[in-house]
Amino acid sequence: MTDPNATQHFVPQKAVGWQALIRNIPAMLSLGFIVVLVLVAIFAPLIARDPKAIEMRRTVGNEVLNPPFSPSMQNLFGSDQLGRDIFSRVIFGLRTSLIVGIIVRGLTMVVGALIGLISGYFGGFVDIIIMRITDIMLVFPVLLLAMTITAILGPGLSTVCFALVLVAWPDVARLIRGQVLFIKNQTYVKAAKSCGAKNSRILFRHILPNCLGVIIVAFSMGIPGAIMYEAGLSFFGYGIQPPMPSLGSLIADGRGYITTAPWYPGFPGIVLTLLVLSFNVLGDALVDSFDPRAR
Amino acid sequence: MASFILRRILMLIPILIGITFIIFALLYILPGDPVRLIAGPGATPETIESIRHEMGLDRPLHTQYLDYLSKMVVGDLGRSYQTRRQITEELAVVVPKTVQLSLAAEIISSFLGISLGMIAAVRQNSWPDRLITALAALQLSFPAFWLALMLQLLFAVKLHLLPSSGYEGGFDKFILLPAITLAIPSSGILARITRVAVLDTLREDYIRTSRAKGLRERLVFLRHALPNALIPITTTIGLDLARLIGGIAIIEVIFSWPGLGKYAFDALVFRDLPALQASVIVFAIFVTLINLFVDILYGLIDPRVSRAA
Amino acid sequence: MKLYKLLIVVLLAALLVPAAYAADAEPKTGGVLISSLSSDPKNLDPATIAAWDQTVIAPNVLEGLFRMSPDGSEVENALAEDYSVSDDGLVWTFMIREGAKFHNGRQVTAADIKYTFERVLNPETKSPKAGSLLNVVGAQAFVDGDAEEVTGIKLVDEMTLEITLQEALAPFKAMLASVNLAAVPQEEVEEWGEDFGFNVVAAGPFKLGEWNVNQDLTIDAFEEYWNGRPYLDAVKFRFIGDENTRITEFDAQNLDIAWVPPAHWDRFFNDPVFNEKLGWAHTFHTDFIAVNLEKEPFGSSTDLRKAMRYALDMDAVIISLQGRATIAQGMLPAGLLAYDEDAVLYYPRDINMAKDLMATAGYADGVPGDFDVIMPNWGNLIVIMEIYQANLAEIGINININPMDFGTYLEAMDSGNYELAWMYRVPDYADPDGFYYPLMFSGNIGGGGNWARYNNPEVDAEIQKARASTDDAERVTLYHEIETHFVEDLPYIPLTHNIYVDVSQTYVMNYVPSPVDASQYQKVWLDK
Repeated sequence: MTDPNATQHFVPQKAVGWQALIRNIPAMLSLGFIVVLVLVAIFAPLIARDPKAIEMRRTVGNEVLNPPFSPSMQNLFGSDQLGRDIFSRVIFGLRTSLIVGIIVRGLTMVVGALIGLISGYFGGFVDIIIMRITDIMLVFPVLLLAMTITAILGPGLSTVCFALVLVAWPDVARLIRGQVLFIKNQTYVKAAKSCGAKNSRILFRHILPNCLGVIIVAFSMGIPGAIMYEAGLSFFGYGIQPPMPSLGSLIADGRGYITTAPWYPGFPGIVLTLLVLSFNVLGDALVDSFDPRAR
Repeated sequence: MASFILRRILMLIPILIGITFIIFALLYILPGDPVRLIAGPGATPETIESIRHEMGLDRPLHTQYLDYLSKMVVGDLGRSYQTRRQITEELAVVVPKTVQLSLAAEIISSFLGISLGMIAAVRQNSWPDRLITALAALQLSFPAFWLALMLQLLFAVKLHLLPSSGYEGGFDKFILLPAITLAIPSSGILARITRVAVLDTLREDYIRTSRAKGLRERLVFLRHALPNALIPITTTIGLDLARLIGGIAIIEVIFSWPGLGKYAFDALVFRDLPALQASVIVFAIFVTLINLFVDILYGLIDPRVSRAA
Repeated sequence: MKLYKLLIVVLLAALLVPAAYAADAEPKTGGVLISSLSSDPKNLDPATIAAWDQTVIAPNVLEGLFRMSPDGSEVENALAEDYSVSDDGLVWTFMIREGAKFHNGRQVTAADIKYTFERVLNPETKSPKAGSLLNVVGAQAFVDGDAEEVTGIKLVDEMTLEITLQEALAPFKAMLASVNLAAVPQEEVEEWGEDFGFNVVAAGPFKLGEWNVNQDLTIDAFEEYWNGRPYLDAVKFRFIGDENTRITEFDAQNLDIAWVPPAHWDRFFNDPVFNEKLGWAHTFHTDFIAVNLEKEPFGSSTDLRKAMRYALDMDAVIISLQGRATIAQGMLPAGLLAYDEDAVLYYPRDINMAKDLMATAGYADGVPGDFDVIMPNWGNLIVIMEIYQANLAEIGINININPMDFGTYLEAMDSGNYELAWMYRVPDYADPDGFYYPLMFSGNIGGGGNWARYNNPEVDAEIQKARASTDDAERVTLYHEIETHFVEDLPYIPLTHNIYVDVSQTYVMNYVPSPVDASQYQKVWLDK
């Protein structure tokens, strides 16, 4: 009963790299969706109306209505309690989410990668200290800690970014450190070292370029997390401040209206979920395509 | 083995000191003046100063920190600014409620996650697998606070099946909504890990051998693949619990669950520094202990780990 | 405007409803009423009460010499059965009520009141209300530790107390109705020590029952209350922070009374059954924008401040508040002494007038830069502030909304580290002095409540004269003069007076919501 195809069956010849990524339909759909959302965010002022325009009375036929208005051609996603267009507010909120997500994750990668490089490359006492600090940072409740920090500094865009980088760098540092330890022991690095190359040269010419793949994947995988935490902070009032709309604060504002105007907290939440979902699917596909053993 | 465990426990000490130091340093640069809050609107500057002195907040920072550490060693976490009660007494009331909630959530999450993950693995590349994988991705993508609102809308407001929030003793209908909200992303993660773990064991040589020997697929799975896959799954449950506790605060706030997370959040809002500090430390200790437990478990399962350490 | 007027009529009609209920049927004794608080009151020690969640419960458990009537209209005798004031207004004599007992069953005596007042004054108690007794002869010496007792508080006999003031103080009786001065028995305070706030023994109509931290608090009827035990067996306060959750629980009949959040207003207002059960209270709140007069440019230009007020679309704000507020045209809310509908200045929304004033102030093209308005971090309030923000942008004043934690916010207000701030005042006692003295008396700049840092010797003199006068007619004249100064100088830009509206279940009888956030349940009963 020997199956001649057994080997092939259990170790499928999986496509890897860009080809695999392009053939991954959900990933491509997600990428497309993200591109659309990014374009919408960039051209928000052209697509959306004034997200701050207040409309307290609206005459429909003989009736004078007061907000919140339900979804219609005039307000695709309905309006809030001041008659402001939720569709427009969602678009501007999306913009905030994307900006924060990318900035926070980018800064986190820079900080985390630098610390990880130093820790992994130099090893010894430095490594021990850095790793103990990451141990400690990783046991704190993330959102609570971030809220405490924004409470300290006063909420706002820059403090939100600072707080989120401060709680997220240890993960990245550990990841990069692991990668550095692996590369450090490769023959070519050893060879470079024995030839008397300077530390900085080895670090930035040999080790860093070899970490780039991991960094890019970690960057994209971390964006949805950053977006979610920003939304969480804003939901509890410790994040982005009005009048700058954020998806999190939109949901918080609409929370009370969940039974009487479900579109108000509903649409921002759906957009936020889809945004995070697309990033997650794309991130998974990246890992699958370039690092199949990672899953 | 014993020395491995002992060493891991000893390592808790610097971690604990680190935790208290970081949180202490953070809290004491908070701009809000707790004394001002206690005094309320319309208090005279003299009253405020006398309260500040009474609470020892006019002393230098390092004196306050050392004082705090030495008291903590004997289990004294100070008194809450707000209630003026012993914080340890208050923690004794709120901590069990958080334990209840996290256990309930972890049970739901493990049950859902492991069964879905196994189904997906056994039916690899079939439509149930794809559905479960897609579902897991979605589960991870919900913002917890929004999901909580939607579940409240569905189960409490529309269907009148469950109370929307509150607490009446623990494992009853009140725990279901917050526990489910916590379990939804968790079970997504568990389903993925279970799927990969089972798939990995299915690829191992001994499985192929037993297949080759003509054992039925179901027997292969139950006798060989499952027990081996359980090792990574158990440790994952531990890590999942630690992760879940990290996000429990916001769920407790939304569902008015009177546990440690809500206690910490209220303390933050009211600038009750001793209470906030104590609750963040307890959270961190929780997670540290779970990690320790997982480490030890790993050591027991795989002796190489304990020897290497 | 029509809608608004209609609303007022409906409001006034609705105000009369609770009174009609009372006469309807014979009250029934028994049952537990379930109410709510936004969070655990933490501590009910009368001396330290300051937070909203504490004041809501306080008058049900605590009682002092006087108490406010449930509708807030007058000060009633409580532990004081009778009192008299000397002609110069300096010596107050109180006869303690026979049969008024503490929850431990002991008769309240004059010595208890003396003990209570000295406890509030004692710096070790850390009472934020110590200041309200500093006018008593010998109080300062006691606070400074130079005297063992307050010489101005004398025990005439076991049941008679005599208090001598340094200066006459017209609102003194109203001040004595503060829950912070509620009587406490020395033996219980000393037994419980630091934990007294959690085990309060006082003399109110209810006594403290089961208290589940962060969950709920029950107060039980006090059988020996001097004015008869409450009809209810108990009131249970559940701690629910989210207004939306409270309404869901109300719908499920797990709560008997709940504040109506904006999102649910239409539903209850248009419901024929629940419309009858809406409880209305024209509160003594005045919301305003405080202007720090020491900061440029708003502090130095009255025209600029007036322009701001003319730019505000108050009608839109009232609509967005669903008619649950009235426009504040001055500092005083209706219902207080010296409030005069005709005497206040009326500011309609007038953009042209606002722009003219801007030009007069030298800012014809708007004020360059933008300015933070600090405020507490309350969701519904931020939304209203966004209307003001849009209005002010129309005349070229750009404001940033800066919500803060309450502690940080109060600190900024007190230290003057702000330019513009949203603020409110709900008086500690139902008297115009409760507004003018803290807000406009120069001695109260800083922590005392004069957040604008308004300093006008003429107004100071008038405030002091009105405080010391016992002649109501004279006081009314003085307060009208002060109000004229207020309108001219506009250190605070008045916005709205809240109308508090809650809804109760059909079986809740004789409930009257309080205009000072302190609803009393003593005469409430359940028809079921």
